[in-house]
Amino acid sequence: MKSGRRESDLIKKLKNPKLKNEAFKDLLDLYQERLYWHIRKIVVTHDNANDVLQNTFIKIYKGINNFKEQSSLHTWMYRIAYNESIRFLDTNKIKPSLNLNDSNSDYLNNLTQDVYFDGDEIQLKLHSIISKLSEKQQRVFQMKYFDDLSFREISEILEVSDNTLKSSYYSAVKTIEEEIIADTLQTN
Amino acid sequence: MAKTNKNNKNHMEQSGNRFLKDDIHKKELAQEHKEYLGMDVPDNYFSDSKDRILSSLPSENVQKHTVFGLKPYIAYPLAASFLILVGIFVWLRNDTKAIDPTITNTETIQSLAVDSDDFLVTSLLVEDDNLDAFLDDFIVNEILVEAELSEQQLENIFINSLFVEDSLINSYIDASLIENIIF
Repeated sequence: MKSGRRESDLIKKLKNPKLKNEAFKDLLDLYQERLYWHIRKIVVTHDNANDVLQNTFIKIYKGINNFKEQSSLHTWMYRIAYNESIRFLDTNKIKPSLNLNDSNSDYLNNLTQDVYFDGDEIQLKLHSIISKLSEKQQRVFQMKYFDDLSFREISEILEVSDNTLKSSYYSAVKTIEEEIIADTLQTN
Repeated sequence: MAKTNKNNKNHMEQSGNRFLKDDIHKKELAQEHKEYLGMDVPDNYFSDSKDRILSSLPSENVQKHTVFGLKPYIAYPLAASFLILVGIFVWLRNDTKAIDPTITNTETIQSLAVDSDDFLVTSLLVEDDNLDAFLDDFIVNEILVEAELSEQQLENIFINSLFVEDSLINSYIDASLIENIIF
């Protein structure tokens, strides 16, 4: 069965009050983990991601009847997860910026204090490099590289044009490559 | 390792199966985030989380069936407007009925007034606006007509007296005059 057909069937079941709960369990099986990691990279800690994930699925459950299918279900859910994450950061006044040189960085403090972060020096370095990107570049890079979303999907989630996203992404990749090369040379 | 993972993911994307990825991809997700970003999750987190999310879902409200299938925010104003219109209609009808008896009573009074000899009492029941008309009617109907009739009757008495014998003339005139004055 093709993915479009399966998605369509799942949407129909989710909109049917009698089948909704069963279909929602399927939806959780399929998307819980993907949305969790999407959220985790934005809100950083596991506890925060856990809260936002729960809110996200409650919103999806409540709002599924209003889903007009103008985008794919999966893009629609990512958009809800993204918006919930940003709202969480705003509500808790957590700065999304990650700068390891800044000892007051909320991101750094949250990251290193999280018991479910066990990154080594190299991983911290990658966080450090990503933190030097603009917020938009960070989001695009994370969605494209780790979440494996297409530019079209990211543009629907962030409501930014494809060309702007591509420019941001390739600029981010170039910056990261340069930073890794510079770090490697410095180490050697 | 990283290169291999990305190649696998690209292959999956190319196959067009972007919507529902299998468990292998989920393992990749967890591995990737642990490997690249040092991010981990508690054991059995996702199965526990699923139960927590399901238990926190709001109970589905049964949709209420409304009259004519109208939503409350449309139905209530419509019902209120309908009631107001009915209220205005009933009020106007009652108001019209309230005016009619007044008019009827006035007409009755006026008709009674014409028939009545008691001009002063009748005039008390006539409204100020209608007083001039009432006076005009009274003068025409009561005074002028009565005067005309009286004059006519006097002439009849005179003419009839011509045919009455002389011996009876005095009693006839007395009776006719008295009758004319009384009635």
